[in-house]
Formats: sequence, C-alpha cells, structure tokens
Amino acid sequence: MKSDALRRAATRLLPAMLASVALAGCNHYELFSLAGYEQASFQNAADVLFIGDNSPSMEQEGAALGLNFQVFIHALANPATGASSGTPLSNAVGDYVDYTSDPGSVLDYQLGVTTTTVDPSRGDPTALDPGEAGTLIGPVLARGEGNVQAGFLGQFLCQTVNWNESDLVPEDPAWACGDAALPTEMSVEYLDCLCGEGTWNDNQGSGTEQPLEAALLAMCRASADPPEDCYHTYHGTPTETDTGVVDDIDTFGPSDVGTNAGMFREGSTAVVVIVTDEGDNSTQFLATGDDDASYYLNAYAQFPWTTRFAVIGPRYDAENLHASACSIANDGTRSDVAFWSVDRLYQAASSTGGFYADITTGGETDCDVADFATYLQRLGDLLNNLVNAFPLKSIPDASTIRVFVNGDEISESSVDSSSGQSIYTDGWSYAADQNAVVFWGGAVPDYNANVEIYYRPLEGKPRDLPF
Amino acid sequence: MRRVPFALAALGALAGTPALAQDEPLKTVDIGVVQDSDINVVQKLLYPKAGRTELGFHLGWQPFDAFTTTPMAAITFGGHPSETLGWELGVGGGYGLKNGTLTKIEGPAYGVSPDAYRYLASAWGGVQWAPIYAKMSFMGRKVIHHDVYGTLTAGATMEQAVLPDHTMAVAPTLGAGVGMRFFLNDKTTLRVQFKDDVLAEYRSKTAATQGLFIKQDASITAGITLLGKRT
Repeated sequence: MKSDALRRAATRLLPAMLASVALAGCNHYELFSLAGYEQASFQNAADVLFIGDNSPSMEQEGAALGLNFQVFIHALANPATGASSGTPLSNAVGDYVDYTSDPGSVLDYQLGVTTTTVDPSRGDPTALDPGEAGTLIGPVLARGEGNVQAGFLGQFLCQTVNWNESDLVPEDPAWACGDAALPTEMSVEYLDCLCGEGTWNDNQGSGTEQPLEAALLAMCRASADPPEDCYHTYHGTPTETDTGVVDDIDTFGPSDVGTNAGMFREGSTAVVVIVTDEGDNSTQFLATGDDDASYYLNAYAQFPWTTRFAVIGPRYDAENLHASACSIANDGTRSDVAFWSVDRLYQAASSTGGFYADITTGGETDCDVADFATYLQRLGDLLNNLVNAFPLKSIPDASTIRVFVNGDEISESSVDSSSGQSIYTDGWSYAADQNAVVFWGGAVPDYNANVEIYYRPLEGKPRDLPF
Repeated sequence: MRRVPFALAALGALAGTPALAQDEPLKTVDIGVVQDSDINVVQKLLYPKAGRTELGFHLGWQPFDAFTTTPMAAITFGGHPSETLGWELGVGGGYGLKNGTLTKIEGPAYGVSPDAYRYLASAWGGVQWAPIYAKMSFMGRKVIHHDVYGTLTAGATMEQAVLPDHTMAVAPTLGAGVGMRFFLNDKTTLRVQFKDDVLAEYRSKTAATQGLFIKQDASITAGITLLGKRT
C-alpha cells in the first residue's frame, strides 16, 4: 500500500517539477529601450532654415514672426558675437566650461529663408524665383557675420511675406526710420525703411503650400552629393489659363547641385522651421489625402546632417482628427484645414524631436494670431538644447527613465519656477515636446563620455527580438 | 494470501523418532496462514542517517533564466531525526552573468535591455523527506548506497538589477526540490539536487505600472556532505 501511494505521489510531483523548470525560462522582465550615445558626436553647429508661407493668408502671421524675431535671436545669446569656436565643440575643450554655464554662447548657428512655394510658374515662369523650389531667398546668415537679425528681417519681411498694403497702417507713431528697436506694429513706413520703398509688396507665392517638398529641395541644393530622391520633377497643376497639356517642371536637376551650398553643414543639426496656416500639400511623392510623411522623413535621413522640424502651423486636434486656422478674411472666425495635410507636418515635428505649435489662439469666433514671442523663445530653447538634449526613439514611460554617464547614474533634475523662469538643478529632465532627455548644469556629459538612457517604451518593443 | 502446508516440515521433525513413526501414521498439521502484512523486507541500512547531523558544501548553476546564467555555491547544515525526515538550514551566494541573448539584444541592432535581476545570495530553512534508500550496482563492480529525497524550503533571496542602476531587491522565497545522496562512506555523501525557488520580487523601476513580479531561480547543485556522529 505504501509503495502505491509513493508511486502516485511521484507521478504527480514529476510533471509539476518539469513544468516549474519550463516556467523558469519564462521569467517576466519589462523590456527597456536603450539609447546609447557617445559625446564624441556632441556638436554645436545648427543650421536653421525658415520656410515661410508666402500665400496671401499669411500677412498677420508674417508680421508677428518678424516683430518678435529678436526674442529668438536673444535666446541664442549675443548675435554679433561669433560662436566661441568655429570648430566642432568636441575639439574645443575650453568651450565646454562656457557651454555648461551658457549653452547659447557656443552655438554656431546660421540661418536661411525659403518659402512653401515649389511651383516655379509664379513670377517669372521661365525660371525659379528666389524662395521657390527650395532655393534660398538670400545669402546664408551666419552668426558673427554682420547683423543676423537685420539680415533675416530683410529676407523674411521684404521678400517672403505676401503683404497687402491696404491692410497695413501707414506708420507707427512710436517708431521712426533709423530706430534700432523694432516697431510694435507693422507699418508701411517700416517696410519702406527696411526694404526700400515699393520693393516689398510683390511677394505672392503659390496657394499650394508644399513645405515638406521645399525642405527636401533645399537640402538637395545644399548637398554636394544629393541622394537619388532629389532628382524628380514637379507635375504642374492645370489652371484656368493653361491650354493643353501642362508640362512637368524640373525642380531639381544636376545643374542645381550646390545652389544652396553652405546652408547645411555636414554633421550639423538642420532645424527646419515651417510657418504656415495650411498643411502640407506636396504631391511629388504623396497623393492628395495621404497623411503619411514617412517618405519625406526617410529622404531627409539620407543627408549627412540630423534634421529636426519645428512647425508653427494650424491648430491640430488629434482627438477629433480636425485641423483649423483663422479664416483668410481675418474676421475672427475659424476655417477648416485638411487634417491629413496638417498631420504630415505634425509627424515631421514629433518624429524628429522638434515641436509643433498652434499658429492660432482663441476659439471658433475669436480666432487670432498666436503669441510668436513664446514660440520663438521655444525655438531658441530647442537650438540651445541641441547640444545637451538626447532624443529618444520611442515615447517613454517617463517614470522609468534611468540615465547613466560612464556607468554612473545621473539623478533627475528638479525645476524651480518661483522666479518666473524655469531653473533646473544639475541633472536630467525629460522634455516631452522634444521626446528627449535634456541635461542641465554640471550633469551635461563630458566629451567622449558614454551616455546610456534606459526607459520602458509606452509603445512596446521597438522591433522584433530574436526570441 | 498464500497457504503453506507444513506436512513436510512435520515429517522431517518426526524422522528422528522412527519407532513412533512406525506406531502412528503421518498426518498433516495446519498451523495457520501467513498474510502479506506478516512479510517485511529486512535490510540492514549500511549508512544510516537517523540521529546524525549533516554539513554540506555545494556548487551549482542556475541555467534556466532567459537572460542570465548564474554560477553559485552554498553551505548547508541539517539534522536527521529519523531515516526519512530531516531539517536543513542553508546560505548560498552567486553572481548572475549576462548570457548571449542579453548581450545580443543590448547591442545597437536591437537597443533593448530587460529589467532582469541577477542572483546574489539567499538563505533558507526547510524540511526533507527521504522515503527511498536503495543500492545499485555500478558496472557490476561496486555497490552504491543512496537515498532519494524531496525538500521544501522557505527563506529570502537577494538579487540585483542587471541594468546599471543595480537596484537591490530582497525577495521572500519558497522552494521545492528533489535530490539524491550517494554514500561514499559512513561519513561522507555526494549530494545532487534540483531545486526551484519561487521569488516574490519587487522591482522599483517599474513600480508605477507593476512593481511585484514572480520569478523562479531553478538551480542544479552538487556537493559533498559530512555526516556527524550518531547521538
């Protein structure tokens, strides 16, 4: 009887033991993503391309950008002073101390301006006008080379914004030509003084805004060895005045290589700033209604610089799949914008560690232009953070982020906003708008330091694992 | 049940008295029936454990985890109140190493690292039940005496996060295992054991979403134990 009981016990115990062994191989662990960097790639070159919407509806927004541009420039420290080193920061150990106390002081930035117009048939239909198809409005404006602010305003306000003189006040009583400060209100007097009388009111561009295509073409023109995606034609859109077949229009060919030379530098961070009240209507690679911007994002990735997008665009309501901007009549009402076209821009900003901001403020009946000073400050912060922000590939569960520099864990920074400004203690913080980990103060990694950032991605595994 | 005639036995007994045999005829005497329960296997235990202590030194491995592989060692001390029942206390230590899978997925191709925890140390107490004592012939040359036992333990396990934060966790642990003692001589055994420890482990990094995880540390150990004098 005892042996029978023992046998029964053994036959029950054995499967349980085998099952437990099998389960031991299935211990459950949360998978963390690992973002690893070497600070050898730490660089301070930022090439900023402004893509202005020169369609008729952008007059107020253009004025807001111009009148607040000083905020952006001042966010990058003294524009008249060149960056502390013209060489990459990784070779300038002395600059490191300067950088940790004032990151903007060592930022080696340059600016360029183009438009959302890709169709070259506007203006002179036989040739590309400045700002069309990714060409630059004027020369590249580099920090330390002349007055960057004046140069930018000259290009943007005089040759990009589509002004309607009847919408402008004749003069601002508080401002006179020759004043160093910008006026508080855009006036005919100011534009005449800045641009030359009668030279600024013929900037009308295409009503088919194509900022993603314009960005690609601008990069193609800046590259010494453009990728294959650059070589394509633009199929002209028939208009009422066209007769017969509309020919394809060459927007980039071998003769265009280098026409934007110097705009984007190898190894730099290219920040594309799109200011528009419409979405993206690029049709070269995307069909109308197609909301997937990945083709363009993949094309940008082929250039030897890192591309990030900052978009000031129509209000983006992801929850209701709705986009809107202030109506062209400027009567305070809103008008719908095709959501798919705005979604492209939102993808470009969110997937490259940039930011997307609403160009409007107010509701359905009191729609107005947003506070550009805030956005330009944010843009300045983005550039300043280029050298101490580490983008993450996936959206993290922020509570799981752990940061290590050379194997030592860095503590999370705390922020003190009591003075009205956000002051961070030494450490790191997670910037959701950039989806990046930003280092502050003495915690900024040293040159050639190994930076490892672990986090649990909210979206699950970044790719299939080999088991 | 088996019936045993005792006629022949009686005949043998009477053979020594021929005269009587000639006087009285032989007859069968039924003295009863032997039941199964009357039959016992009587085997002398060459290596008894009852009343003896046991001090053990063990080396082992935890090979079953998906991302770590762990060499370990342990010291045990116990006693045997009887041949079948015993108690034991133990402490162990080791270090979980990253295995090939973990090294691979941490690389740039995958950029992923599990929040795995490596075994560092453990302490436990438990009971043993050794219902089997047997001997077997090894290649017809040597007879090896051995027992087979099962064990249940309770204790705590200290582990450390493999990620660079190296967060520590002390987990309450329940274990179950089976093993065998091979008696090398009256004082020494070679003991092999498989034991599966189940840990209730708290992992701080993911506490916001899930903090408590059930983990198993299954180990295979082999060691030498020294049996004390009988008390």
